[in-house]
Amino acid sequence: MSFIGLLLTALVALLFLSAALAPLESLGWYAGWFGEKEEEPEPRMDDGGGETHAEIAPASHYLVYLSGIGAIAANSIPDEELPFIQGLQERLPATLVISDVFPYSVTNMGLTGQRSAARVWRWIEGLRLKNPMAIMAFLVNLRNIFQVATSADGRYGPIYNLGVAQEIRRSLLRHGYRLGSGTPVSLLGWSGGGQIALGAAWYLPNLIGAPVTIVSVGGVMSNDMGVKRIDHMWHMWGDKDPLSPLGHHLYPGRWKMFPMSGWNRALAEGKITLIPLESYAHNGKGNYFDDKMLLPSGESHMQHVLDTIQNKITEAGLSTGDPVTPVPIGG
Amino acid sequence: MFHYLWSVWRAIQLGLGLQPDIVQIATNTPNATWIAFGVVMTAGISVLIGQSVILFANQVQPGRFLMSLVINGLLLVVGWIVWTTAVWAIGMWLFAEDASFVLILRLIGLSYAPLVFGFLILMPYLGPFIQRVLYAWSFIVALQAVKLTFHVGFWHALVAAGIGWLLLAVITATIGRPVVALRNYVWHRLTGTALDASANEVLQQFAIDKSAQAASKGDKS
Repeated sequence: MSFIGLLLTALVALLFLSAALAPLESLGWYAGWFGEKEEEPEPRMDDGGGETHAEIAPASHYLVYLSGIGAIAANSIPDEELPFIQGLQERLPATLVISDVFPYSVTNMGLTGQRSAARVWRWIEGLRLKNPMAIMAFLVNLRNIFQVATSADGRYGPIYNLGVAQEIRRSLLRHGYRLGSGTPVSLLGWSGGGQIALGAAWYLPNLIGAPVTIVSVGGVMSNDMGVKRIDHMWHMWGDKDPLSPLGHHLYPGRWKMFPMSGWNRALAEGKITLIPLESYAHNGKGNYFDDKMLLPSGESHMQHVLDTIQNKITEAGLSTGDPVTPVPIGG
Repeated sequence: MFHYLWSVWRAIQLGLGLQPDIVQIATNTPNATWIAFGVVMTAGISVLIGQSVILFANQVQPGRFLMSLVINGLLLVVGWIVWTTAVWAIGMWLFAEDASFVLILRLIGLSYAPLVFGFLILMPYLGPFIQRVLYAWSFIVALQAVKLTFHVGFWHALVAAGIGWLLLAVITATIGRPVVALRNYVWHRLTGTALDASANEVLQQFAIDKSAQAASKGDKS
């Protein structure tokens, strides 16, 4: 075998091995082998979320932003998403927008956290800061793609999605959410975050005792059982986006030929609103966060997505009440 | 020990696709049965790693996890011997050739080699597909083992293996039930998990149970 052949074989073997090892993080966490197992002190239902966060005024609606597969940690998401998150908060003043959940870890631990490979991820993060298109940065995407597939896999999803749902609940509590108040929560999943949002939606309504809606921006989603528990989902995707439809292609439950699947029943019941976006791409120029590319209406790509989300959330009567004090992005 | 492990590794390579010269090798190699045992044990351990979600969902601790892997290897060894006996007996009954039991035991042992990649069943999304491919591959190699041992064609080998499989299924569902129950009991005692429930059933139940617990955590009522 030539050197190149050997190299390619080694790369494929490494890829397969990495994929095979991907579910172990969440499985080991659940079995108590590694990662934190200790639950936070349980806040009581009637005291508005426990002593620690009782001083934070609750909002009338919460929107939890779940980033795409480019995220390295909750506080290290790609720069292009920051104005989008800021725009969400500006357009939905009565909604508290939270972005401190890292969707690709069951313990909310970013790649640069207390991990054995943290130094490598920090090095890659440095490279990406200098050059967002650095080849090594693709390793972040690959690692997180495997976690999306873990969430979507019927064997691992029940465990993975439980971990993330608990982290979302913790984040809500940190931001003054009152359990039992019935305050609605929306999960905004961008790209792979769409699947994570849908997966977590199986547990979250029960964990917080409130309805959960999902906003998917170019979301890559399977026929996850979480679709049965959502109040509604708005799914936006661009016609030049090859990645978002992958969920449709790869998971038979989303095919029309299975009308009784959870996804198709939710569609038939009107629980999923499909919002196609013309000329939107997944990455690069013309993507959902592009504030320079203009539509015929004169709006930028990003402005139009933000407008659509604002309209849908407002029409659903979710974002009403007094303006909130925004929290820092990733905090 | 190193020499033995090296022999098992070589046997795994040979088992991925049996060539006719394997009969010579399996007949003349010292300790060939013992080496085939190594292949089957490795396959059993690897397959359970691939299906280990069931152990993790039961929050099995590392010590018991390792023990479960070894026990699964031993269970596969028992399966290997029973399956070989069935195929050999049917071959002796169907075909003119008198074949050596030890030879077919060794060759069918090698047919477990593809399952050494069973740990890849862990892969999200592709895992269940890989599982089917590995089992089909292993079965095809087992047919090759029957062909080489009894000097018969593909269809004859398929008939012998098929009847062998049917026979085992019937025995397992009838007079073998106490043995299966004993196996499940021993497994449960040693590993703390259930062997007779399918992974899907357990995980569906897991999601429902955890969701109900979440409800008691999150609802005022």
